[in-house]
Amino acid sequence: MLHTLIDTLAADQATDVDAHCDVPCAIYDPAHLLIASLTVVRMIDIMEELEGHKPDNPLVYHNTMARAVAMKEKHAEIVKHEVRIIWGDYLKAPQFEAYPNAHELVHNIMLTGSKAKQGVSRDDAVALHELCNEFAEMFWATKGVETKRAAAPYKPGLETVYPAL
Amino acid sequence: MFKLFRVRGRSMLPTLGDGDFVIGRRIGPHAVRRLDTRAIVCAQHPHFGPIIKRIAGVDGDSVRLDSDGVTGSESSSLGDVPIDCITHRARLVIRARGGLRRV
Repeated sequence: MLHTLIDTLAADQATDVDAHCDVPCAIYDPAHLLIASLTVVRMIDIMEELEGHKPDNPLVYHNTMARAVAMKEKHAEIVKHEVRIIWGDYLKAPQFEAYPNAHELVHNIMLTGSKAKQGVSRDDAVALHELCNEFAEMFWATKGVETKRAAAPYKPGLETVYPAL
Repeated sequence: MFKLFRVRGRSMLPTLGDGDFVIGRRIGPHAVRRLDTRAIVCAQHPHFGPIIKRIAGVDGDSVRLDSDGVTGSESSSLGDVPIDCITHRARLVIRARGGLRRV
C-alpha cells in the first residue's frame, strides 16, 4: 500500500538506481568439475591397468603412463579452477548464510584436489569426486534445482550428481 | 538530506527487488569510511551511472562494491569506485511486493 502511494504521488521525485545485471553470461554449472573429478579417477585406473598389463614395447608403456599422469594433473587442476570460479564469482553472502559450510567444503576440495594431483591413491581421487558431488548438490540447491545421483554412464561409472530437470 | 530512489534490476535480490523504493541518506567520504562494509549505498558509477550496491570494502579513497544477487555484477566487474562517488546510504526499503524494511 505504501509502495502504491509513493508510486502514485512521488514516483517522479525518485531517482532511478540500477542494480546491474551486466555479467555477460552468468552461466555457472558444476558439470565441468564433475567430469574432471571423474577423469582423475579414470586416469588412476588407467595407470593401474597399465602397470598390471605392461606392453612389450617400453616406449608404449612410458608414453601411455606419461599421458595418464599429465591428464590426472590437468583435470585435478580443472576441478580446483571450476570450484574457485563458482565459489568466488557465483556464491555471495546470501548463499553463504544459507550454506555456512560452503567455505569448508571448498577448502576440502582444494586440499583433496592437491592430494589427487600429487599422488596415485584412488581413494583420494574418489574422495575428491564425492566432495565435488556435495558441492554440486549445494550449488543446485542455491538455484532451487533438485538433483539426483546416478552412476556416470562411462568409466569409472561412479555415482555422480545431476540436476533433476 | 534524504532522497527517494527507485531500484531497477534484480542484481540485489533478495535484499532489493526491481521496482522497490529506497530512501537514502546523503553521506560524504568521511561517513563512508566509517560505514559497515555491508552497508547498501547509492553511487554515481563512472561507467554504469547511478547504481545501488553493497559495500564490499573501503581502501583509502576507493570503495569496492558488490551485488547480493547471483546474477549481479561481481565486484571485479564493477571495480573500485572513488569514495566521492558514493552519494547516499540506503536506510529504508519500500518493497514493491509490500512491506517496509530497514537496511
